[in-house]
Amino acid sequence: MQNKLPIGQTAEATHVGGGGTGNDQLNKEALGGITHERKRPRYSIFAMAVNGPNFYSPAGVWDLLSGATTRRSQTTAHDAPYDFSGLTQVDLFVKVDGAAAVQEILSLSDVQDPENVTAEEVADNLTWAGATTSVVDGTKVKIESDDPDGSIEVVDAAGFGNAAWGFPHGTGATEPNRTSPGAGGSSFANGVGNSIEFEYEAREPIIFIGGQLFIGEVTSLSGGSPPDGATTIHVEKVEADSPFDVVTIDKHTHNHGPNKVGPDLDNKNILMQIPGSRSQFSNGERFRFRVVPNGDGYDVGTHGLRGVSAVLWFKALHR
Amino acid sequence: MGRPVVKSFGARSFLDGSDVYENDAQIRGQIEGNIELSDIRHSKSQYNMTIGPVYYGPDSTVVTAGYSVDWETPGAAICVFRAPRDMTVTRLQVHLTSLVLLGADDQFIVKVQSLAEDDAIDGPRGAYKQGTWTSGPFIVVTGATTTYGGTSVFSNSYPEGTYIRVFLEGNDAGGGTANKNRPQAEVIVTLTIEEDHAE
Repeated sequence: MQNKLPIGQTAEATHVGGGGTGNDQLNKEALGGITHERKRPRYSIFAMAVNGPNFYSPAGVWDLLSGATTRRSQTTAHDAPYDFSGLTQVDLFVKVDGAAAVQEILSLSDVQDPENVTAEEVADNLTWAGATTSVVDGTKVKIESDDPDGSIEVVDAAGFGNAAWGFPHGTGATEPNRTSPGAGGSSFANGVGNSIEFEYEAREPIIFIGGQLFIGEVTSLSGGSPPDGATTIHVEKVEADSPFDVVTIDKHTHNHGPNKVGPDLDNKNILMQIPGSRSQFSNGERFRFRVVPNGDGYDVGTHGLRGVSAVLWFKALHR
Repeated sequence: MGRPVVKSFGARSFLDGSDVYENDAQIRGQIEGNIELSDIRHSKSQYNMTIGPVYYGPDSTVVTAGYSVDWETPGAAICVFRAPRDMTVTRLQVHLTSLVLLGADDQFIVKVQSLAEDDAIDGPRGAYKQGTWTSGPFIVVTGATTTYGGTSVFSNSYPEGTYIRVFLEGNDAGGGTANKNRPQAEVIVTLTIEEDHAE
């Protein structure tokens, strides 16, 4: 298997018959004299890596967190409605501001349908002194200390309801305070917006010999709908004297769905080959690599690509 | 007419490519076309692959805006590729910029990990976030300072076809805040790679 790039030699001293004192023997000796140490490859290989942590817009998932805030609260991990059929009541033990745990009971005679208990019904019936219980996002319940420096701790005890609600146990976790990623180009929190764009100007003749694009995850639409849209990889040459003249060397479109790809056919861990070999660049010409997610109905607020990286290999030709 | 006896050797002297000297013609072609003589003593390439700057921290799988949740920074790969040829990672460097929110307990590890071709017939399973990969060079990044540079010299060879990833994950040995690892950092990782060229 050819697993190394050849340096260019295809004849070896042993290929020459040799013998006697004629040319063959001299040639054999001469070729043999060109030792490994004296061979110079006419090229060298180099690589560049390109990153796009995500294609969400705004960067969102990679916002810098500013750390602790003074507000302490706990929110259900699970969405309403909650199913408490067959029970007469459920309860929850909560410590407010570090005080002793207090049990509050939700009597299921107070709700309309024990099989489908709403977040509002939970919030209305479970209240602790010094804290406020409310509905957030329509389907989650949040218990928040009234003290800006206080804390909420859901105790992992005899409470019935928490299996359904999924409040985190332990002391009130620090609520991350998300900061704006800002608009500056140097802000890493911006990620790369909606595309990866990479441009390299050749200072000596180079050949793009291929690369690989890795997509950590293609996130789906909410509700489990198959991902739509597509990502197109462009390999281009920008002319040296005319920056607006762009030649497409290769273009590959990767559809996000409905057929899923990846080792587990789950649209994760996708490694794509980017072919090269035909794309030579002389001095001043620019190699351009673009990865552009696109497609009708593509909602960058809810789905897109995550964990994207590319490695590009080049061969630099030496004189 | 007798054949000349070659006293000195040169591509353009006696190797005239005539049918009398069939071997000579082939050899001349090789010498002129494919082989250069030089004092440069490397028939290999050595290059850096620099990844980032990239933000490493919590993502939407552990943190949702507006909700109070208990979170840890999940492990994630910042670069995944498949060795196109045999290659050796000779050096791993990690640098953080000043834009760091890294507590002293919130250490993380930058690892170069691999998955053999035979173990990944379907592809790089779990490359992005999970998977049992073989660890190679690594650097533990501590939070003692806001800026950190680390270099480790290794010689880890990977045959063609091996899947390679640069994986960042919390370091449990660092303790963590309330036993949680919550590193956040802007990371630049550089791999120095060496490829031998075949004859």
